[in-house]
Amino acid sequence: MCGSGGAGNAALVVLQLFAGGVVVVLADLLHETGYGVEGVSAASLLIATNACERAVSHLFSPVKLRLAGAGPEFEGPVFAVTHRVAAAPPSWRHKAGALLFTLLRLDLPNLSNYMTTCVMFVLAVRLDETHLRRLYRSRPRRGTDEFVPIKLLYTSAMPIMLHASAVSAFCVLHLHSSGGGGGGFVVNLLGRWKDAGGGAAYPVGGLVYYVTPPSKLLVDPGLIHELLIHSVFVVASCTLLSMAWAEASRSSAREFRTRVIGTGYFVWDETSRRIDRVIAAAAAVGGFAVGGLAVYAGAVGAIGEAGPELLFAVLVIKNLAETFYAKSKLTTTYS
Amino acid sequence: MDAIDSVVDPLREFAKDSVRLVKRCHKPDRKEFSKVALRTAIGFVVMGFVGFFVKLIFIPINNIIVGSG
Repeated sequence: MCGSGGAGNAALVVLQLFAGGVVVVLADLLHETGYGVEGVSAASLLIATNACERAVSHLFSPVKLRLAGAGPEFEGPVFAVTHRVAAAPPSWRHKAGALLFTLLRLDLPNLSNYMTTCVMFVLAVRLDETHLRRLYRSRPRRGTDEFVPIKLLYTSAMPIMLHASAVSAFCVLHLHSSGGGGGGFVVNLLGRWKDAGGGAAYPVGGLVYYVTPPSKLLVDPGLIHELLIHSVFVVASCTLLSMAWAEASRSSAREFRTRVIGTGYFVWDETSRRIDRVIAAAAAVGGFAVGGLAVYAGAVGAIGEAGPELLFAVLVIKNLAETFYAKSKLTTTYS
Repeated sequence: MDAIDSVVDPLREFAKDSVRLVKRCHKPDRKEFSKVALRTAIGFVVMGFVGFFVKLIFIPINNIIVGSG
């Protein structure tokens, strides 16, 4: 990585990481002391901004690359389709071929990734808008029904972020344990890595191969069974993580009942049991939906090659927009 | 048989709860969905282009820093 220069470059890298961490902590403190829009944490905003910037820069990148066996090619699909359609011979057959090539090229971001991103955006916004109304009815005071909405995506995008973090940590630990000399039987069973040059490696077998998302699905249709295994793993782990997170975080059923009681309403035992069952079902269905969305984004290839982060960005920005408009207009979207 | 029933019955009850929840949920109509989608898209595009322009500005700055190093 930083072989040339030795200790000097290593010290510079450590200093850079430390300064970056300090900047993130300062931004978080600034946001939490009242200068930012409440309801959305600064760390979530930073992750969302990174995903948005990556998506837009991949789409409008003006970098011109020189690929092997071909002429100069724009990295961004917008400039690439404009350049190729303009430079093609003036017949509809050649121009359609240029457009199709830009739509389906494999080595650089293409327009299919952009379409997948739009579809995932629509699905995420629609799922997040689905909620359950009229959950709680006050019987002693007639005519004062209180609507307490419960979203279908009860734990938002947290299960897919937890899943991505766990898989990444597992891959890093296993790569380091198998790198030092020939591994034993257990290490080989967990996975094997192949050097891709320049310090990068990709899995070629074992458990780590099925845990990571399969790449180049359009090139090799034989990978469909690995895609199925990976999909089942992601959806199941997201569902379980969502149910566990709903119990462990501040949005559990007990906290929800405490918040409802805090508004001055009496909660019957029957209502408490119904709230518990509704929240458990919402956490499971929400985790299942988020896992399915992430699998779809990763398989078809959302722009930026980061399905989970892009999904997280969409949900965070949606909640931020809701809070912003609610505070500016003093109206709510639940009418 | 009793053990299998004790495992299957809660799962069936839970699946029934989930299906009932999905059916009873309020789905957004076209006007509501388009409003929220437009707001989210505006936020997404604004944040993305701000980051993109910052990256464009820093390309020559990074070349100066790395070039001197």
